[in-house]
Amino acid sequence: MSLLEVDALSKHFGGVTAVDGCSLSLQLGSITGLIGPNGSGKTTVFNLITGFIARDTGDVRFKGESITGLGPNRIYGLGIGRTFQLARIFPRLTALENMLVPVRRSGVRALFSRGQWHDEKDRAMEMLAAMDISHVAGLLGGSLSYGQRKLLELAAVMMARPQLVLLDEPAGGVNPALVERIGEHILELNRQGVSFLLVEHNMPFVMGLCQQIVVLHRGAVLAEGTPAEIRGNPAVLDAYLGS
Amino acid sequence: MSSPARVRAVKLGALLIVAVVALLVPVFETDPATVNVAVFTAMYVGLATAWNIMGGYTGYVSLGHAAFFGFGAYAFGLVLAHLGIQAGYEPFLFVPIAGALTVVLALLIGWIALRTRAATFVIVTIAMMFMIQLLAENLVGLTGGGSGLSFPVPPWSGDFFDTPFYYAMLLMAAISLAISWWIRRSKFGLGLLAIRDDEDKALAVGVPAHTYKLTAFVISAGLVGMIGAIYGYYVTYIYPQYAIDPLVGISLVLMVFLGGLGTLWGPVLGAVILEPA
Repeated sequence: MSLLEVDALSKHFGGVTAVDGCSLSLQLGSITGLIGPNGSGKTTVFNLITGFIARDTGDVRFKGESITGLGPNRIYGLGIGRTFQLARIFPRLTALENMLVPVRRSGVRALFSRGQWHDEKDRAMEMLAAMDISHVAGLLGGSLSYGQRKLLELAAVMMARPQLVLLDEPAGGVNPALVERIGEHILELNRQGVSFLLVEHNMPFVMGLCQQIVVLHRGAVLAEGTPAEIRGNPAVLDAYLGS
Repeated sequence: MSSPARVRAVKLGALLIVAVVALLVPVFETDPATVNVAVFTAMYVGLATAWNIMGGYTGYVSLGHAAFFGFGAYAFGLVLAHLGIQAGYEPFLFVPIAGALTVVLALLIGWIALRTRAATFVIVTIAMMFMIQLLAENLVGLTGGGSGLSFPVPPWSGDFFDTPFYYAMLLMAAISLAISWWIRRSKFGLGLLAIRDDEDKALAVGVPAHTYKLTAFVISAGLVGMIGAIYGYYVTYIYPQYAIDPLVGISLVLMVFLGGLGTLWGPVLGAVILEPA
């Protein structure tokens, strides 16, 4: 079953074509890699899917329903979470508060209910423990190391139980041991039913984690297939991996 | 008694002492000049606390809150005039109407102004304040223009005149503080603090930023409008440059920055230090 369908998506910034008729389809329960050289439009595709920027043409459907034109918070509410290229957390909130911000409680109830409910706190602490960072729960986000921020960002985005998470360079800027741990966490969450679309430059990480890979080049899909197929695709080798 | 319980007991005790002292100011201090300072101190405690709900919690610095202050005063004066309310205690019952009218204005202004961020938002709020001031100046048939607007003069003696206004301002300061405290510990407040730290990230984790900001803006403006209404009745006569005074907006921002931006008690501290000074 297709969870996310991106259909002929395009985006221009002035005279620059960032995304050019990009189409891709993500299966429920999959981990899909989105790779390509710098400037190929990967992060722009993320921003288009999650509603951070408006598309020029094309459509994005999540579980069969068009989500084009919705704002980022509405899209998150439908079940699509995302992380950013450089780990973004709330620096003046504690790690625990960072975990509680994504908890969905809307309308008047949000205004009048307390910020920290015990069941939500318990769940947040469980998530932090699963990421091995429960010991920083009371520390301000700004005081955490970059690796801890990466883990906190991933843990926090899971708080609203999204079905699909878009990870923008989850292994970027962290040491090899942590890269391995992040990979394990992604696999564990995937076993629990969460689908992933990830942008990453660390090829061993992508090839070891993803069942499906989509290669972007100059904003358009150059190739897609299994890691083995992508490795052997001459066009990809020419455009990105080098021969 | 456990440590957190002891801390809470100490805080409650301190709060009680501050409340009792505040309540007894006009009893022990009968000099009208001193009570007048107390009236303005209580007024700025309320104003700074109300401003902090928007500026402190969301990080959106509005330098145009004087517009809501003056609008509340004008709205109150016009309501009293149109309903034929006599001077005395009765006008205080109509202060919430001035707050409600200010809320309507804040919804309109906030809906537009909150589409901008950072320095642009600051400039838009300043521009908005001068627009409201100009309207007050030019809508002569409604506001009296440069001739100003008179309020009914309370029939109280000079020695007692300030006391009812002191308690009215104190009540508004207490209401502002209670609302600020409640917001700070709510899910809504957590969303506001997230917006302050990183608005795009907040959007990415489901915080409806525009709705939250607008709600905070409107609550903040409504409280400021109610305080402005009491102020208008206190001074009994307002005109545009006096009621919609940029210095009022700047002063309360300074107080919040001095006492502690985004904290519950910072605006109180800032107002208590700066206003009597």
